[in-house]
Amino acid sequence: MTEATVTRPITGEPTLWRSTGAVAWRGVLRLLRFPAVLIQSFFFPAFFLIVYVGLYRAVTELPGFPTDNVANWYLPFMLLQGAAFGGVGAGFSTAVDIDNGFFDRLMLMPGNRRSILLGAIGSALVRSYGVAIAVLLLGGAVGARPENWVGMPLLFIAVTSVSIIGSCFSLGLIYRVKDQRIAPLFSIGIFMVLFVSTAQVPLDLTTGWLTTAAKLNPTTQILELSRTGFVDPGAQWGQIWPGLIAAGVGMALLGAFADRGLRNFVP
Amino acid sequence: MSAMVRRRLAPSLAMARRSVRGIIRQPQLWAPSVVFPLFFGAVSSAAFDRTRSIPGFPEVDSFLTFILPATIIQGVMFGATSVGNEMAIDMENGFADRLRAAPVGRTGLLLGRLAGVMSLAVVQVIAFVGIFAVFGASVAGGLGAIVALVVMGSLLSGAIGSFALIVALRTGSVEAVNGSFPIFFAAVFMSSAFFPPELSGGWFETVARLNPVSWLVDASRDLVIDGFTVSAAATAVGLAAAGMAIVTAEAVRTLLGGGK
Amino acid sequence: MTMAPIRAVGLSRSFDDLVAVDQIDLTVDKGEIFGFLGPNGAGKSTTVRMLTTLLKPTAGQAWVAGHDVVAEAATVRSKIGVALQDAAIDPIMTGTELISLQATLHGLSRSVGRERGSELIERVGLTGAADRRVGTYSGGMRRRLDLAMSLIHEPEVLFLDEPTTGLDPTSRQALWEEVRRLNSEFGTTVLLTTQYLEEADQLADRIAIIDNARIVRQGKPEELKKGVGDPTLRIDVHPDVRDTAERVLTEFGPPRPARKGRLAIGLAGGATQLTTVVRALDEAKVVVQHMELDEPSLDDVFAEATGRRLEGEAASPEAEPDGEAAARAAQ
Repeated sequence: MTEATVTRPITGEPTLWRSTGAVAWRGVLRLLRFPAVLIQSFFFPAFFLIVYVGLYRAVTELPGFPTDNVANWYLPFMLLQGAAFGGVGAGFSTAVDIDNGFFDRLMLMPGNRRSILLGAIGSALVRSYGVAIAVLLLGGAVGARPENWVGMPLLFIAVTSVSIIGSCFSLGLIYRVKDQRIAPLFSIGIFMVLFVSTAQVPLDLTTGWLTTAAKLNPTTQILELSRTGFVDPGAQWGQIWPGLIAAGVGMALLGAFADRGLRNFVP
Repeated sequence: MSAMVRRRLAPSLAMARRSVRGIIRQPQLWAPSVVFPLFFGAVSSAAFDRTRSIPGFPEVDSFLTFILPATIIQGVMFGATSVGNEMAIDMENGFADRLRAAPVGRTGLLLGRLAGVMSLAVVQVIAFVGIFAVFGASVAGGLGAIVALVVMGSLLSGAIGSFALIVALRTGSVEAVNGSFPIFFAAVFMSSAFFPPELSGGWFETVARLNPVSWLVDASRDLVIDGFTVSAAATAVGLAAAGMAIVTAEAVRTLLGGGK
Repeated sequence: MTMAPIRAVGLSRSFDDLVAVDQIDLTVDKGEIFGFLGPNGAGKSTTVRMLTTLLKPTAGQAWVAGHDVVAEAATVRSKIGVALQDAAIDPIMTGTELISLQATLHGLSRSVGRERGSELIERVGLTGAADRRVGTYSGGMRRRLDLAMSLIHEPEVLFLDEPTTGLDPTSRQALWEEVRRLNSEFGTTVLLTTQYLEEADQLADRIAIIDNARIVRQGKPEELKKGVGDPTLRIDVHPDVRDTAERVLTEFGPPRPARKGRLAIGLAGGATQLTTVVRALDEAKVVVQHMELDEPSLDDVFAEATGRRLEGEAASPEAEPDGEAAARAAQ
């Protein structure tokens, strides 16, 4: 046994994608063994979906409301919420890794350390998709029905981008602060950014400070993108492109934020 | 006589002081219970102000005024769970054993702890009313209504705090206390706190009408929107007092029964 | 001439005002087992973290496997194996999963990784437990898995940070055996940190003693021990006659740091002088409760260099001034 070990040369050139895959697979494995983590990300969106559909049924009666199905209005918002909570899960599990020292092991990989970030985003995406599928099914159960099918790929893009933005936001923070106690800030940040938008009512119906804040918050554009398949008048290019730009710019900016944090991780 | 009363009250007062000091020194324990309700209040009032035009919505000058009781009750309920949190931490650190060994009345120590969060509730209610007033909300019932709201908030905090204490005493686990949070979350959201149930209709209206939180919200809302009436004040304060009497009695029973 | 596998020049690291590692010079030769001995907080782990690219030096330079640890960090990582303190292993993964993760991260192909992984698992005696979650492993098993993981890519240099801290004696022996085998069979250069004198003594070809962020002694264990000179004579006496005993003893050699309540000197002339000492004590009416004569140990080396004992209790106050002088002399 040991003879073979001596003679065989180990000539491995670690590639970014294989390392990324390995890190992501570990995240997925944790998810499969600890499905409770999924429930944590699922709780708020599921709860709010059920409550909002019951509570705010009457808002669709307001003149100018783009759908008369309250579930159609709130489902995309809750999907993005689930995607965001799935995303910040990357920050939570990285915080645990840093705390127990496993992160050092990852940092000792010889290749490009960027695969640590990409792998974390990858497993966060899997988690977000898992939560999104569950929320989608729940949405169907409480009465949401797609208006058109063009909106579905756009919804997928919105969910993906929000998951990536959420994971990069939490990872950028934890790479810098390196302390588990920062973790509650992930969820608080997500709540604030998501709610200060057209999450609850369309922009025309908001009043006061929220109108200005929602206009400035790119979440609004991504929300509109995600609602394309669920509201009238449906797929309109004028509403789609701002969403695509907001999603792209958001991913780029927060991606850079996380990437810089990781590059400066070694103190 | 008065010296004897003082001596008997001393442990409770010490506990209350310890509890208040703990609250002041650890803003992370209560800050969410102030920030989140205010945030939800601000966002909801800006988002749903136009819903006042929907037929059947109560006559009210702004959604902010409509939602003030919700913010108060939500903030007080979330803030009060911190007492259970504190107790569970103490139990994990072995404080409960010291408590059990204490020569003074254990009930007094428990009430002292509750007094801590009840004082926090007083501050919360006054702060919420003040902040909302700055942004244009009004309390039609005036000073009398505000006093009733403060008393109601404080008693409600005693009831919820007692519940959190029961969980802490039975399980001795911080996680279990935090795990009970969704119950209060659900109780507040599935009530008349954020929207008139008659407009919601369906199953939601049924649930909201059966939910005791709605009764408390409705009485408080009468004080805020319609003005001070003895019956509204008595309902708000009475419900909270009854709640606290029942839950606190159970907490004391749990404590004397040994808990964990 | 090829460069030594590990070389550091003036390597230093500060955290704000705290100097954790201060101007360390170090050379570890090919095929050597080098022991880094020191108490907790002396700067051992900080040094290892710098050499393994997990921490940047604030001053000085270091090369591992011929590459600069800052400028060529990724290359350094491809040539080293590292088993960190506490064996940080994800408890919900199995041994096999962890080792295959490690293989992929080091660029091994799937088939080579699998083959080599099972070889290593067998080598460290974990075959039966390989498909169990690591959370169910004992401390010794975790360390062995950690060792196996650090060897997956056949590193030129192996870093072991306190590999046996917290292990029972049997597990400790097994791990020592494995390190020796690796070193003799493959010629792997090993740098290990430890706070155990015995570990350094048993395992290391050369050692460096680190205390308060600085290397205070460096060399082969035998040479360092020889450097201390005469064997140490330790006696216990009744406190009433302690001063008398101390006066008598100083005639036979210089005082050495000792456990509280005990007297120690470096006995000039060694065992041949023992009867003379006993006679002199007897004449001074000192009743000896306990007496021992030991050849110098690494603990003596440490004590001579720092004025403190690494194992056992703190040095006696009497011994302190002398020890401090020794520590100053060493710097």
